[in-house]
Amino acid sequence: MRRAAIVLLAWGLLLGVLTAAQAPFASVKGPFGLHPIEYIMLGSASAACLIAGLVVWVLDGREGDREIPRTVADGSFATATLIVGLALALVGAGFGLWLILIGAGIAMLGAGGLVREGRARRHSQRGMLR
Amino acid sequence: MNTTTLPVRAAPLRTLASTDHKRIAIAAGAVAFAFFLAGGVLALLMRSQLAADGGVVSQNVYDELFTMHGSTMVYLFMVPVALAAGLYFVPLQVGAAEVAGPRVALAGLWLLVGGGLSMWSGFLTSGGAAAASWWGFDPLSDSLHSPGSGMELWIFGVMMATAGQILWAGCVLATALRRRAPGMTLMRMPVFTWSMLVTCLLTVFAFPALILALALLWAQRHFGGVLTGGLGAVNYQQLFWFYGHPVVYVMFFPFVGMVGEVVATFSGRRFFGYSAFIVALLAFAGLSMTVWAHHMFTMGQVTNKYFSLTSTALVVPAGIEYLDLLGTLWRGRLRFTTAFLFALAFIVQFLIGGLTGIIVASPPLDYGLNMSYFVVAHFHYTLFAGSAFGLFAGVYYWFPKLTGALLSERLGRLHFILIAIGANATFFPMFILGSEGMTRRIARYPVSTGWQTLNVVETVGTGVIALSVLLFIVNVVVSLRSRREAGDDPWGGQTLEWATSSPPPRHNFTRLPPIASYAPLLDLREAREGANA
Repeated sequence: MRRAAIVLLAWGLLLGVLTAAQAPFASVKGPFGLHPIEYIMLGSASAACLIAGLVVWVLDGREGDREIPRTVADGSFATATLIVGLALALVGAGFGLWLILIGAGIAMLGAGGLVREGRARRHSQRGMLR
Repeated sequence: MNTTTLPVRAAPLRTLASTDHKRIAIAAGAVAFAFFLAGGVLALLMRSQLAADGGVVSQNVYDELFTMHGSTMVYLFMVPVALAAGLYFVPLQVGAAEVAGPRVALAGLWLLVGGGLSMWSGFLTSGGAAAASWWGFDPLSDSLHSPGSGMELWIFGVMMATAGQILWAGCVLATALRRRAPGMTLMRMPVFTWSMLVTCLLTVFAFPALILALALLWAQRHFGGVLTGGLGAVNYQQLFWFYGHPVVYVMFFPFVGMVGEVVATFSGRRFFGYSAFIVALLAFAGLSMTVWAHHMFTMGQVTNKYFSLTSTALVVPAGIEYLDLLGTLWRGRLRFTTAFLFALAFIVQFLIGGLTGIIVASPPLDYGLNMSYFVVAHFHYTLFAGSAFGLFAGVYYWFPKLTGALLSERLGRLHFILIAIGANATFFPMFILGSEGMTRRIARYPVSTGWQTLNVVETVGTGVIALSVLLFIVNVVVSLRSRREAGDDPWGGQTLEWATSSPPPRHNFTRLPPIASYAPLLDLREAREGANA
């Protein structure tokens, strides 16, 4: 499974090469010359992809090919509630504190529900492993 | 994989909170299609305005129409529907029981719904909806030029929809990389799954730039001093287009993958040049991250030579992909189903969009064509005449898997003929108008220009497209009501989704066939034929 990380590492490396490929154009003077933001954006994407690749590499190395029992709830109202709350809070940033507070309250309900779902999942997993 | 289902209590609300990737994807597809219809109505209004030479709506309303049309089609239709296809089929194609992070995928659905409602609720505000184009450039979008709350709602809406898309892409990417069935190595993944993998790479690593740009824009509107002075507004454009060009490929790669599957199945052949296709996809995706500033050639504030070079270099991987598609068709036993017709039209029409892209990738030519209808024609040939045709190829191909019923081929062919006529009548005259100097986003033009005839042709074409979409809806309704049973594998498919029931069970498979290549079901058929011979 470790090969999966190679996709991310290779693609991140490709972005790195393409970032560096801008260097020869630094000799172009004036407005059509190189701008730092062009390096920063592409370089950041390259670095993020390489880091993601390393994380996957480590995770896959740790887990290997062993089977991990997974419990999947058929539905998650808590997730929907959390997102609705966060969305309202975000829109509230443009419309006033009252909407932010309503959104935050709903989001907290959702977050609480997620904690409860997480507990139920762990309980179920322990049952499966026994 | 050992998977258990936990019961859910409130059955009637199951769809809204389901963590089944198939239900989430179908819900996302339905939401996206609803927004497609709404965006299409806006297009009809715009075309009526231009055919009537400015007698339908005011310039301000027209600004809102093209802003919301573009925003809807990109943020709420094409990208979501592309990722929804991945959400449904990638787990099936790699033999996974579930998508990675089902709750995260569910969150993506709700972010799409919230984002869409936020953007469209701008029409209910006193100042109207956002009117600063789908890219919302500063200073047009600042609090001085776009003071209404419609612009605020647009900013929040786009942020939410984009965040949802990043979440979906993360789920699909993790599924393809870490949830594959035993035997499903990377180089045995179907072409559609690979196309989704590179799509998700682009989404995860380019889309955050848009959220950052919009956060800065919001801060600029409220506090000022963020995008002002020096290169402030230019930097917004840099950030926007760092998202804005990769998103074009997010709206292309999934459909080229769909077309690849359709072409292979209806040619009765193994996909030609598989390895070259995969390498081309990865290179294409990498290069597509480096071409964003070709949208800014005429500003004189970007490295034109570099971006012209990378933009032109895109023809190499694109050429390899086209060669692979044509190679798959070569000497195939072709079956001209509706899905196959849409796939063929995709190949031809996207080529027109792609070739005209080479023209605007050249700075000297772009100086003449920038902001003209030539550019509008170019991107509509890629996104509608290209990608939307690829999407319909996928819909006709996979509808039986989603529902267990076949779509009517007779209505499908009629749908195809009408939409092909409509698309070309609408978008081809735009090349001519653009070359003659008609600029984008104008609600009126002088009669002396002689542009009205071609504008009327385009408007009639848009009407034909609308008719074809209505016919498609009729086809779906009629086919679901009359239910011609599809069976598990009505087309003789080659990939794992055809090895399970239609529609698939909650955890996708009861058993998996042996996987020894990227076309495991074709392997089985060939082995059977070999044994019979």
